[in-house]
Amino acid sequence: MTNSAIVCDKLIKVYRNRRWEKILPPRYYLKEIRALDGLSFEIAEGEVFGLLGPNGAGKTTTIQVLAGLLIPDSGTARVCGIDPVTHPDEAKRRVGVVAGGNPRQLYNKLTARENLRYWGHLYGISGHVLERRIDELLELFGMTERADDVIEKFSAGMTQRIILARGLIHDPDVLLLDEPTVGLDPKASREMRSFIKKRLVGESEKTVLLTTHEMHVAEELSDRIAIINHGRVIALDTPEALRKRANGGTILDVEILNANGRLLQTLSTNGLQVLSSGDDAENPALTRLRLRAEDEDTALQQIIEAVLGHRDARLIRMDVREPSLEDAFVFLTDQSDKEAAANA
Amino acid sequence: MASSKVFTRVIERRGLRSEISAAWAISVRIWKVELSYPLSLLWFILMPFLWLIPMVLAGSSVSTGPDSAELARLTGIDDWVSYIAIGTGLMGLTLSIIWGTGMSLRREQNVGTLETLMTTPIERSTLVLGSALHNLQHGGLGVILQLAASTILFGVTLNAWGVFPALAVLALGVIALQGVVYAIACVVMVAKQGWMIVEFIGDFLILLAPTAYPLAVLPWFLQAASLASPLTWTVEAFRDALILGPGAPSLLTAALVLLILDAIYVPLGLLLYKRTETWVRKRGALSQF
Repeated sequence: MTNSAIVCDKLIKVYRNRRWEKILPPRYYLKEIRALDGLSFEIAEGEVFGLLGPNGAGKTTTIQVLAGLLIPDSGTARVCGIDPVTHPDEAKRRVGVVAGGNPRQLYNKLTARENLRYWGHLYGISGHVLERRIDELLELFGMTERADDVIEKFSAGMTQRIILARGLIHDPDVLLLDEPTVGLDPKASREMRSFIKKRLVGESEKTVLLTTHEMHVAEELSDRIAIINHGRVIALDTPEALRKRANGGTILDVEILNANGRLLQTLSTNGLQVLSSGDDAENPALTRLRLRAEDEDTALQQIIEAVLGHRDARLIRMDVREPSLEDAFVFLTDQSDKEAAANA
Repeated sequence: MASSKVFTRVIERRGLRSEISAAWAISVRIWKVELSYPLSLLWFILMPFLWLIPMVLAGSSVSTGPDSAELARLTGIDDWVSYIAIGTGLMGLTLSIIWGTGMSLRREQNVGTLETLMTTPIERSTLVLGSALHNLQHGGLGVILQLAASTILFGVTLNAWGVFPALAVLALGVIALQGVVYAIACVVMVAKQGWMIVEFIGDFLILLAPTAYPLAVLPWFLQAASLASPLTWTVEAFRDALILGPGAPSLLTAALVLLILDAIYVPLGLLLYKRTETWVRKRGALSQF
């Protein structure tokens, strides 16, 4: 039986107003926010676990709790069996934290090697052990030739590599990657994903908790994905199983010229679910729709009939595909938002 | 393999020696960043003189010569130039410690490294300690530069036998001041943009300290308040040792008082710091600006 590397059990974190703020008019203080509302999940050793959620869902808050930066109001978290709240120093020895999208995690006036040496010292590593570890990491990330250049001369991709190297300097069992590909160009993002997949997970068998907004990143890297919203897990499964949770059916991406509100209403009335709609930026008369239908053949007929039934409307393009992780994400979070609104 | 040795070192990291090693690494890093800005280095060299020269000029305008009978009556020292030069040297060290160390967390936050630092297994207080080590070196070099220049340019004379007692008193004073700095760091952690509080505390401590004037010229209530300030005892004894020598009457009293203040301020400062850091983590305010 595989041991759990990370356990979150009914975590709750509520941001409340301070007592004195309540004497102020409401517009001057924040309402109570439940950043985590009973969040629970377990991650097995060696697993890559994706955490997806809309903005404000609780992803970064979860990372902060596991990293020992935030104390939850209730519930427990464990990293390698250690509680980061009661034994933060012990937990931190086993965890590497890498926050993407923030190139300022390094000292720009120091070289890559100096940065890694500095962070290594903070973890209690020194001497030839540290120097060999630095050389190892620089080679791993293809940065040996730039090791003695200052960080401020690096591109975003190169900086992110050194940030990731910094997160690995102490050879942690667990890596918390908070949006590791944010801000990277497509090539750099692909290189980062390849590294995480082949070297981190494939060779080193690290446990990785990965938060991201990018569906393809989550899908490509994760063994399992948890979708969280309003501070709790609303779905947890393999990427393939989650795709099927998009309420099944077929997804149709349609472009219609001169569509109007009546046409969209006709489509909805005919049983097609409009997942998203928007006008093309360059040609406002062109409307792009993403529809979900139970039956593909019936949907095609309904769309054609709807377009033919509206003068001036022209069907420009139609693509049919299976539901993606993004579709499942949108569907599940929409459901969750509706439930939350109903319970409010 | 290197990686398993790495992990062993990390797991075995604990105790005072590890924290001092980490603090030293922080201090070295701050030096490296500071020295990468050449203008910063120039400022560091010139700054002590920018405080001293106006005071020497002011003194020259009201004094008939290098000696002051009134100063001798109040302090036992008649050489007012030496009196001011040594006092203002410590003023620079004080400001370096209070500003440099008190605002260290804010600086890390502005750079973007505070949260990452807090994910390492160092004690939270080590971050402040590392900054203090740097500022002690920084300010200490400033004191040496200023005293050396004062002897060359203004004819200040120092009693060589008084150097070691002066350093001993200085060490005790810096330790107590570190307790104050931890309390300042708490203010910065909570208030974030707390520079005005840091400024007030620093200026108030300097006001109470006999850096450029004897305590006797202060109102009685400020004289009373100054007794609780480690800087007061440090400046007085440091200067007496360098001018009057190891037999200066204030030395023993200052050393005893500073030992007591060390025993009060340091644990109190550390306790306050620890409680504040926990409070900040509960509120999730570590990364807030």
